[in-house]
Amino acid sequence: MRHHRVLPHTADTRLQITADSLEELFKGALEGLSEIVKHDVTTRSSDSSIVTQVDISSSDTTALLVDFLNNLLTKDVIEKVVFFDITELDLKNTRAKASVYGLAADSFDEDIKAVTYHGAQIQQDKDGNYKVELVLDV
Amino acid sequence: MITENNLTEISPVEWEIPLSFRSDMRVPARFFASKSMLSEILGDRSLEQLVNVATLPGIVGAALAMPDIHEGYGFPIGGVAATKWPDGVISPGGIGYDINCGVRLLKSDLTRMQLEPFKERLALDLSRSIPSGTGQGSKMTLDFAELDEVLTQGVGWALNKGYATQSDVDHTESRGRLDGADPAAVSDFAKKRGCAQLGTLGSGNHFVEVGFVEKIFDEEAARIIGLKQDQITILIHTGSRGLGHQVATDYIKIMLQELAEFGIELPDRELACLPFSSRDGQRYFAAMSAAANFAWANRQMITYRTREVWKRCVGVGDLPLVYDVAHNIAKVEEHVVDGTLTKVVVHRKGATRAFGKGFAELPEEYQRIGQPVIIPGSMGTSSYVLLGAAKAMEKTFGSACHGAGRVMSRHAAKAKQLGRELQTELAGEGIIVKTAAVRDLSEEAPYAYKDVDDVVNVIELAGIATKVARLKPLIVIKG
Repeated sequence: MRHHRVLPHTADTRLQITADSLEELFKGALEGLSEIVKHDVTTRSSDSSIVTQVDISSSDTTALLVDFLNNLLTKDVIEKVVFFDITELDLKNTRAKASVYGLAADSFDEDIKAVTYHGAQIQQDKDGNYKVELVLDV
Repeated sequence: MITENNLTEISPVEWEIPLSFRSDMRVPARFFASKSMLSEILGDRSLEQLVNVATLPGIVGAALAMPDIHEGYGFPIGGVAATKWPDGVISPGGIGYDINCGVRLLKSDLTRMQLEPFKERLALDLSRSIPSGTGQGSKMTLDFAELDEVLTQGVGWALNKGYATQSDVDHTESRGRLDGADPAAVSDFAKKRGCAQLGTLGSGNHFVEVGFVEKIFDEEAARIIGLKQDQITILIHTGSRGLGHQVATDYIKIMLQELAEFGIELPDRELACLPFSSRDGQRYFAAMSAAANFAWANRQMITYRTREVWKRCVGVGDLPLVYDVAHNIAKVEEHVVDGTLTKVVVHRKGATRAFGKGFAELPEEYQRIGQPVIIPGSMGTSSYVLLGAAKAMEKTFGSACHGAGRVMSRHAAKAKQLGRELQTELAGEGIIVKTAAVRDLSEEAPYAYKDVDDVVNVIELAGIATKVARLKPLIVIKG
């Protein structure tokens, strides 16, 4: 189970993600980010099979999520693809290895400069669910 | 939560959050605003962010913010911080992702009335000739070797290629080139993002704006700068595009991993920093300088395209550059700290350099009056030309505001009015707006910003800069 929503922020965009596992949190965050980059990307049907591999390490799990998203955001821009669907994910505390599918895109709906670390902190509630808010620089 | 009770009034336009407010502050936090602006400023987290800046290792004087302050991430936008060279920190968050986002002003020989017959054609040609909007690529794609030349030379690269004049170089802050730039410190990811983006506006609040001089405040300074009543001017506002964004992303990640090694504890990860003298502090400064040079070359290439369009549509004059200022940058400068001339690393995030008279880097004519400071307003409202004044050197490490400053989120602004309605409304005021994404236009509506007149009045009352001229828009090409 995963869910994301966009919250207001004076200058930028704030993305809130909730999920019942860390893996789902990563998947939900990427879906949320991708839907801002290209609004209909997660609902478009396509036979595209563009895939990229990510292998990234960071100082802690929250930084790992931010770095993971930034890595894919960079690939979006360079390859003109919106990577949104994590099909394989091997998640350790500070390392993520993933296969991610994407769709080619001639244009984007939003130019996100970066996912920032500002105020980001993955939190787990008493029921074991995860939550994080990310500020995107747009 | 910071309230008005936590503020000490230094003057009617200057406020301080004292060192005693939080135990981890190394210097006070000080900001410039009128009393009537306080409720808006206290309404978001910008002052909490300013207090966080006051905790940075090596910070001197005070953590400062201009009257266009608003909530950012890490640093507030409108923030200025100086850290002691060479062992104080450098923080990519104190510069922002859009390294050397900045603005330049061109002047023409035409008056508003004389432009009228060409206005529609000029608007259309500018919108077609200058790539703008999300993901729009350049008319040129550079290979890495050529890109490295841009990163090293900045506007000098454009001069060598015939895209700039010597006067353009002379009328650009730092003459359009930071010496310490090193392309080897810029990642391949960043270079791949930048190689097809030279000469592009990007999106968000970036724009090309044709306007006119609506009011002159200082006749003598205006004469020296070459501005007259009703004269047509052109503003260009953009930065280092994806290349700069990637440099910031790369080095914030690196710095976060090295914080513990240097014993640095921060209240917000986005303030990630390292001693300026450390290996990666130096590498970041070299990469940031390269991205700054890219941004200056970017604004120069848009200038070149604008001049081509002007020649085609109007055919009169050559649009000389008044001045180009950066507003997201870090620089090594000398300022008086505790009575002693001290070398510091000045971070300006959404703040403009505003040096007074006599600064040797300035063109000769400006050395007599001070550095022009270009303040773009929000779409459809006024912009200003100011001059840096002596108090800026005493109070703000030679810095002024950079614009009006947002008060409403993009989301809320968009919800308030349809982009098409705003476009029609502005057309009714004689302002042609061209954009690739009309649905997003109201994100930048005037109501989403503070009143730029109020912001500039505070700057003048504080003695940081003085008003020379006010500009009004006629054509806006929105990124």
